Amino acid sequence: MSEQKTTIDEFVSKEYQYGFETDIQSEMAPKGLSEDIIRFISNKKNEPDWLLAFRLKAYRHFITLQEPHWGKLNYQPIDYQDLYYYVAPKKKEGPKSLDEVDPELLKTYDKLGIPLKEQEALAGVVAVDAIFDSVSVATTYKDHLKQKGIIFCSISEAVRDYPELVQKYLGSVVPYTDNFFAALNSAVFTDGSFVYIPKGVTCPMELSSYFRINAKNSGQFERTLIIADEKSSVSYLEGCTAPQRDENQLHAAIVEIIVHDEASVKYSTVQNWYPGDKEGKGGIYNFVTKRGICHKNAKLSWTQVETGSAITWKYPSCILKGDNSVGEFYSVALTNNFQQADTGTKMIHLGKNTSSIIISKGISAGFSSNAYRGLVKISKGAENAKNVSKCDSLLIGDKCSAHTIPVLINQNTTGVIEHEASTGKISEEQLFYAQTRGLSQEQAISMIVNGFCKEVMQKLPMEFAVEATKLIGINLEGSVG
Amino acid sequence: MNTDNILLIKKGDVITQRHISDQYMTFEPNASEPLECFLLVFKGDTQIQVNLKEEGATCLIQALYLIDKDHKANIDIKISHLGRDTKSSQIIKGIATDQSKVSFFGNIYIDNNAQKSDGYQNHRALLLSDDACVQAVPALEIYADDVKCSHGSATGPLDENALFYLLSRGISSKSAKKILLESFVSGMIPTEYNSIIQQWIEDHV
Amino acid sequence: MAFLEIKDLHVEVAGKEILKGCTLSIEEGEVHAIMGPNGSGKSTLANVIAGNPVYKVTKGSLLFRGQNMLEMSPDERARAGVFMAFQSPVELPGVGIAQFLKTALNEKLKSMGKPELDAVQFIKRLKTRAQALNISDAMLKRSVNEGFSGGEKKKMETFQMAFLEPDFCILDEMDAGLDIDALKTVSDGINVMREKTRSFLLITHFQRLLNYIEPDYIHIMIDGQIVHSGDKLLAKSLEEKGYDEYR
Repeated sequence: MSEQKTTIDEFVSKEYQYGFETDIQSEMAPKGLSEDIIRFISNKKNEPDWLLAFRLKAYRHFITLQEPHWGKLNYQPIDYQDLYYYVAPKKKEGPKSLDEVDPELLKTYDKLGIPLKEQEALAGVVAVDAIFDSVSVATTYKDHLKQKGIIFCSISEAVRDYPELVQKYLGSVVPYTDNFFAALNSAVFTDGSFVYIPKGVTCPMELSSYFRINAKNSGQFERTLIIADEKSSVSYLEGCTAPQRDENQLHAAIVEIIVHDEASVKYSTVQNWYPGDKEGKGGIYNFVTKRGICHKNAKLSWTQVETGSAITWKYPSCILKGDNSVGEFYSVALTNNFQQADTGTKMIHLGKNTSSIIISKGISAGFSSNAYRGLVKISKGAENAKNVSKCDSLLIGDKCSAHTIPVLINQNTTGVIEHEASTGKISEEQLFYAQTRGLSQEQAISMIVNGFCKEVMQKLPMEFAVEATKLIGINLEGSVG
Repeated sequence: MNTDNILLIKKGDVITQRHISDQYMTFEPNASEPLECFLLVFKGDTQIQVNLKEEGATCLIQALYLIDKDHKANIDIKISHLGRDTKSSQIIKGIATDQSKVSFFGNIYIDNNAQKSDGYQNHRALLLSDDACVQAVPALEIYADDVKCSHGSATGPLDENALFYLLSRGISSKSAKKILLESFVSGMIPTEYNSIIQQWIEDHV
Repeated sequence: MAFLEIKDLHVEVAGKEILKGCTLSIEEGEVHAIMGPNGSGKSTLANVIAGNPVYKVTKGSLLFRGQNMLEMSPDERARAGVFMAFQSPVELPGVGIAQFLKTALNEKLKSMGKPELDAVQFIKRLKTRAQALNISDAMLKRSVNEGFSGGEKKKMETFQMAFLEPDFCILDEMDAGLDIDALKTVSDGINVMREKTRSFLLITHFQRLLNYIEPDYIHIMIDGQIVHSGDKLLAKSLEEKGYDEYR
């Protein structure tokens, strides 16, 4: 493969295109983690006592825990005391219109391609809840959605305006006892999205959220809570970008989704956090706990394209509690240079006739390590439960690695689990064939990799699919053999 | 009936048989002597490690587990491809019934030096009772790219359509289950153990 | 200057020498056929012209329009006008045929300094050409060669060739596995492309193909070398007497 290797070596690398800093005075809490910092955060946000109590309970639990190291991940130990846990741009008490928002901030959003300007027409429009570092700045289409009874706002606002809803569901799917990073997030989360879709309502547009980490060493601990009441449905998009950094940045988020009887939620992610440079320096550490609980006849679908982050630790999961509920997981995870990913999903079948499908496509290039870790559990009471999984890995170059570690537990005689996995590389035959049609090696690899991921890409909302395809192309460049 | 686990090893033309329980075994076959193992498990811990170091070394591991009552069985098979052009194949089938608990861990590890290697694993299990549990972890750890590696795992009940078909031909439920279970394990068993396995099936339909 | 000039080409694969001094000259507009027993090196020659990296050229030269092909990568050769119709084309799962051909065509146009086709122009051209070769819309929506039967694969290779309009076409055992009807369709598709500025190299085992595509020259390849050349009548002689006379 020496001829191919030389050509791969000659690939031009593409600069991470979202690398920039915003020069705004940020109001920051002092570094470190302690009960005082938590009280500071809670106070800054004017939180009610019950929420402060929630945070403190989580913090007290957190300090008894050890960072988990069972993943196939190697990284420098994180000094949790050496981070800022609260960063907010200086502002008055909430802008009443976009004119009041700091123009620097708006420029930032323009660069990121976020449409903050409201438009009259509703058709084909995406509502955006833009988060700048730790505090939500502006929300669009709140009013339009409000007419349907849909609540789409920041968690901070939800705590203020809909405290009963937040109190009822916060921590109900991912309790602070769940894992180390969940405890951390529950203690110091600063903001995130809150979505509530009332009974029988279909959300007319895709809801979406953008994030950025700005100040040095500030962790991003965002928290999303989505509640789809009976017979409702919503499609939510999550896409992230981050500026270039020298130090690693910690991202420990929690996403909780509650899908009530006969409701359906589709959660799509295109993740493009800064992955570190070609020598493996810098990059975001992404430790995320995402989980949804499905009640009777409910459906939760996770679709993700992960191309960024230096470290990814993330297992979007479905608890299929209600009978006939359905869980889906479609994922493409691409790692290049020195990125490391240990990601997958958990499908827990509790109810009868529940079904789940897992399609995972991993692509490793450079010196990266890409592991799929999954859990499928059919519990004793889950009569006629069925799971089908297909996990494929593609290796580009001989310095990277791919791993598949599925744990399949069947405790019911009528339950069926079918799992298939394969690992290989783009065959020289395929590359040569594409080249005999005039495609350069780079194009051939890109095309074949996209073909490899097609099954997953087709599940993404259209605009995401386009962005995702581009992202894969960008992140594949510079894949050294 | 002796329910010790049984291990049959075939190295080249030589066959050795052992009655084993709670064993950890390591093998390092040469290219000139492909390793073939057949493992029959009724309970306990069994660990097999095969290191394919020499270029061209191959191994075939077949295992059948028949777990009943409240027995626990842990079957751990790890194949490490360390040399170029090595090939491995794992075929594991099992039946779990009563209150048994089975844990199968099958790992294929391919080292960076083991280019052009081929690793294959297939696991199929039948659960015959609501209190039985099968946990399977077919794992792949791949550090080389010019390789072919795949695995599959399926657990579930006896095929209802097949059962119905047999019943529609006048065959009793018990006989039908027996026929299906025997066909499930066929093709894997060395003839000398046929009767032991048939007896086990007979006792559990 | 010959269109394609091969001089004393020695080629090895996996350490074994397959071509042992192959010499061949093809002019513009000519149709040449290479016949020979299994293992004679016919397919190797075809693959080497296309630039398959599995084969190593140890000696000799390969010039296309005076350009040294041995210094060109397979895609450079393709953009220069060389096309290889494979005997068993590989599958590209998930890669749509339309997308594949659009990229290939636009790369070629770009390299010629011509404007690329936009989506609308491309689809129009694709559908027109597909209709001419009786290729359904349904087939166009599939992934390249995925799940195709042998006959469908050959049809797709012929279609790609017609669509990309190469100057030098190598057809590696296009007749293998085809029944009379399929053979006729594929041959018609090739004959329609014959013109003064396009040359063909047919690799075949059987004389049958040459009834449908009349060659200007036939070469016999034995054991890695071209041992005899003649006109189209040579095929008849081979059919009667076999290869032994030329060993």
